[in-house]
Amino acid sequence: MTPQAGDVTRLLQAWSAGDKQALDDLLPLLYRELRSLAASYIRRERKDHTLQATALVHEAYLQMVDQTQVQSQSRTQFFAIAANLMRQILVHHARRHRAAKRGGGDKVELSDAVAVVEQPGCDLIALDQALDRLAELEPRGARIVELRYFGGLTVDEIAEVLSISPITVQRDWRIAKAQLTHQLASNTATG
Amino acid sequence: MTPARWQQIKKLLDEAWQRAGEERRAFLDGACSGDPALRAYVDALLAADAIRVTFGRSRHRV
Repeated sequence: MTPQAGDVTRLLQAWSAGDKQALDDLLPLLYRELRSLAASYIRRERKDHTLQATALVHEAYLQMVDQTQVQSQSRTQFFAIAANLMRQILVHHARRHRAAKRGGGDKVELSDAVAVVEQPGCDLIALDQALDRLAELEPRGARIVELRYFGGLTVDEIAEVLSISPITVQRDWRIAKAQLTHQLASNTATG
Repeated sequence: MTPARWQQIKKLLDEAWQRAGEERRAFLDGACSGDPALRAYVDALLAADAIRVTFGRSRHRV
């Protein structure tokens, strides 16, 4: 575990117990750790540039949280925050990478999003933009996609985070997925 | 797209998913009659939904 593991565990516990300030302290700590994990992952995997957001978040959890000290609710909350941060980090990386390689054929893809990005030319940045557009119509659906894609949360965990029933999660997920897939396919069709 | 339009589309999708084949077609023919753009959009989302594959799978490889 990293030196901050104690801090993260403590902040996570405090936040779960209702301490709002704890979240403000937790976010930058978590952002830094996730970013450095992502960076080392990218260096190791330089050849294929395939990132696995949920694997990274999972690894961060193992490194940063003392699992003997937290309840399952805190674990879910960790993944819910990390999902959003990981999205920001990976999209930021993809944009920088694209800027650096402009004109080249190289691109960063998110392998967990493989089905949506199956269409050639459709990548993480397109997914991020499609998610933003979806959020205008369907904020909860977009958040569900984020939690599932970037955090690897299960339907039951998402239901807990959003305080809705698992059936509602599944229904929103299906609608969000259809809209996203359609949107990404339209992007590809129109260039 | 307006929020009202999106709500209309969502409702139609939900109802279409409860039907299959000829029954779904007949339902959509009725519900979208006079609004070919609505029908086209709902059909596109139904087609997108049919691409089931492995969207959203988790891989905890690390």
